Amino acid sequence: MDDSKIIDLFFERSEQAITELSEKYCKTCRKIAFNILGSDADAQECVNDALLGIWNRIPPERPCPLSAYVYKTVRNLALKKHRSNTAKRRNSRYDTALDEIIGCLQSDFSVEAEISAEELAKEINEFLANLSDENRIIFVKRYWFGEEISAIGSDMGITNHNVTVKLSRTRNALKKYLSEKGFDI
Amino acid sequence: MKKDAIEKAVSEISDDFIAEAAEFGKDKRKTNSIKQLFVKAPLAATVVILLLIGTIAYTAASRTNWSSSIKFDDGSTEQIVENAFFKDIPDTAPKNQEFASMLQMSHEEIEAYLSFDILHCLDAENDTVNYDTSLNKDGSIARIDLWWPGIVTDGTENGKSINQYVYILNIGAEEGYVLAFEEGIDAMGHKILLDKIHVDELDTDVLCYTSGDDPDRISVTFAYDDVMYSFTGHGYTLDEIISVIKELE
Repeated sequence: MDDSKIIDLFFERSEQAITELSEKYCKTCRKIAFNILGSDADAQECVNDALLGIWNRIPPERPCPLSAYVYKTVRNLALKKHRSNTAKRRNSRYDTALDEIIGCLQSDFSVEAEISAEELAKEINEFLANLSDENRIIFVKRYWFGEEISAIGSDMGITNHNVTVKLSRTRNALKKYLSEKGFDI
Repeated sequence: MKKDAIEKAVSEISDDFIAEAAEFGKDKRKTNSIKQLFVKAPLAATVVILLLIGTIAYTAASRTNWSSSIKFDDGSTEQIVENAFFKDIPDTAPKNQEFASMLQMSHEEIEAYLSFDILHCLDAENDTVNYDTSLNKDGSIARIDLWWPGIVTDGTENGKSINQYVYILNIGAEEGYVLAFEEGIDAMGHKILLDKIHVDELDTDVLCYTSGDDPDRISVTFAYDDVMYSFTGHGYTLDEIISVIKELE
């Protein structure tokens, strides 16, 4: 169903909205949550909580694109849950992906204020905007969605090795880019 | 700290890039039927949306009370509360932006910000409450949601837990937020009413029901002092959940 129709159903307070939203997005949502939490049960609960949150926020909100709104809601909830049981879930795909990208900042980098993290986010978005579509999609799939290399390779139609090489090159480019922007103080 | 910064920055990757990456795999597996729908729907959807917005704008100013009910799978509807008042949330209460992570505070910190009491479990196993605001167009707080996970757990890996949810409507909340309360705060489908119980300790009726596809998920929802509460138990019996509610302070 078209996103705008799903949103209309939310505005009509029809529970069909949840059904349609689930049908369209829940598979990816569960994958996002699972990549972070490493547990099917936790992932499902996280998705349920996200649906509840979305039901509560629409209306009055009218998100566009709806997909990013749904995925972000799930990811935020999953990260919160992840933080609350970090000790148990340390080896999730998400941690592995996060560890990879941490190397893009110099070891003595620290963030003392919220604004610094916001600036970093802005720079990363600018960096991504200048990547090729393929490299950007691979980067986002790996570091935002926390997907496995093999899953990315399958989606992109390239070998796992190719994905790894592309990610490595993108990380190096990001490191250089951030360094030029002063994030290596 | 470095990890936190990276984590936060990656979380803020543009919506367009997220949608692009998410859709890429789907494009390979599915046809472009979604695109076809996009061509047909916009005009009708826009008309409906404009009508809704107009209705909302027209009625927004006249609200002094709100109510809430739950609709069940058998078609019945049970009222949770009617003619509840809006809470007067101080302007100084914290706000978080859309998509930003919920703020985390202790129960006491939240009460200090709100200047009124929130029912809580004295024996809560953690005191980290997730705090989330929804804002009116003018930036004022319309609604506050609290999510207090794991107030009770069995301390094992099997995931038994009771989570507490709190929903508060502020004076001046736009109509959309009020409608969301009126027509049900529980988005889960397949709701089956288990019981309606009067809890003497709170002098209020509570609705007890299962929701979603998980039969082990039992929710108990009620209003107290113009605030909505919902306790969702995973793996706990209704009696166990009710006994927690009876002990709320």
